[in-house]
Amino acid sequence: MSAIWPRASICFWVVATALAAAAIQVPPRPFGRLSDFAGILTRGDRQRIEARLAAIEESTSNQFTVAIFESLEGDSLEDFSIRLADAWKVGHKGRDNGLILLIVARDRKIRIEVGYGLEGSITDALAGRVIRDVLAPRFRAGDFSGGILAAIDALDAASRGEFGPMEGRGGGVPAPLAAVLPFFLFLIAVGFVAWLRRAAYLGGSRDRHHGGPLWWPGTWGGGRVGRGGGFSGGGGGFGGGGASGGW
Amino acid sequence: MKKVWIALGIVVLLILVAFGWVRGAYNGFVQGQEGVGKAWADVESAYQRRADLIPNLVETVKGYASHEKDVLLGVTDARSRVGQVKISMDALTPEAIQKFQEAQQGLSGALSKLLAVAEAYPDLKANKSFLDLQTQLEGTENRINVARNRFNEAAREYNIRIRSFPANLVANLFGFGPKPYFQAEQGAEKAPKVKF
Repeated sequence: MSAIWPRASICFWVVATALAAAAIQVPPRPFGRLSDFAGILTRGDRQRIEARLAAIEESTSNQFTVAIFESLEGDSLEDFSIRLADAWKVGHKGRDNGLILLIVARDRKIRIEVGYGLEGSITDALAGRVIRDVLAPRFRAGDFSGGILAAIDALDAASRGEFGPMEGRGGGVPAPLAAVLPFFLFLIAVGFVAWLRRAAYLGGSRDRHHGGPLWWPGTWGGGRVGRGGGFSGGGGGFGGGGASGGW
Repeated sequence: MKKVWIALGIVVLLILVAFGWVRGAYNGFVQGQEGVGKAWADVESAYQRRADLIPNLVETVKGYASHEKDVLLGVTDARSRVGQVKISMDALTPEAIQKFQEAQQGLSGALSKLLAVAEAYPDLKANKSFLDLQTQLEGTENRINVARNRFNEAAREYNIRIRSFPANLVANLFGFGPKPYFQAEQGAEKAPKVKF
């Protein structure tokens, strides 16, 4: 009996890794709007792009994101792109106004994946034109950040007016109060955790956690993301709209 | 006397529990059916989108390659055949879905022939509106793919639900049948790939 288990678990791992190898893994939703997993952008580029993306969402609520991967590992571009869109759920729920500019550096492939809500203004034809006329020439010249910024501007110009900015969440919390609210929540959370620990201590529990607790910022996954704050929202739907191309 | 009441109470309680369970299972099936129906509507509208692109595409190609009559006619014919195969949600049988798929595959084949012919006309290939149409066609093929995958996913979830024991007893009682899947198409499932 005990001899069977190691063999069974080896079989499991072989199958599991084979399955994993067949399709490139979709990373979890990143903290920033720009994720450069291939490392083709400088820190300054990343900050500039991230700031631009944040400004677009500020004024239009459209959630544009840029994802740069090194390789598809043999996967199909469209297949990976829609899985990415389904996993990250870019865009606001109900507006479905997300967009992913997917760049695969080594395969020299580009896809613009457009959320349902933006399909009307960013048509497949327009997305294709942005790839052919804006991105591809600049990428061929090695100007990645310039191409990305120009493409973002073109897509933003096309989708202006589709949606207005999001109304303040929670509907009418005054600005100063909204600013201090997270602080109070933080205090309450700290107090609660302290209370829990005390309770656990008094209860005689011996198991101790090493490292920071889950909410500790240091334990969030790093990655090469630009600055500009995290993005919230999520829940945007995609149906395969957009265009693919390369350079 | 007291015993009778207790027994009666237990029976009533059992009936209530059974009713609640059957109701939950039944409503789950209805929900699943709705999901499949919505996914099917999305599949049809994705295919419809493709059919809607064709008159424009044919017109554009005609402008440059008017003597390629066979290929152009092939596309128009395939499109009208596709228009005749409409399946309502209630008639979603494996045979019906296969017929639908065959008609659509006919159109896919005719379209790839058209695009292959277009390769021989540099002026056509450089035409802006032809490029846009190609992009739109690719985008539509991609939407079709996504819609089909989602339909299969919805059908699979529903089928698992109605086949699992003991809910399958309720499914049989009320006649909830399984939903068919889209089969992967041999060779023809790839969108006509266009290189820039």
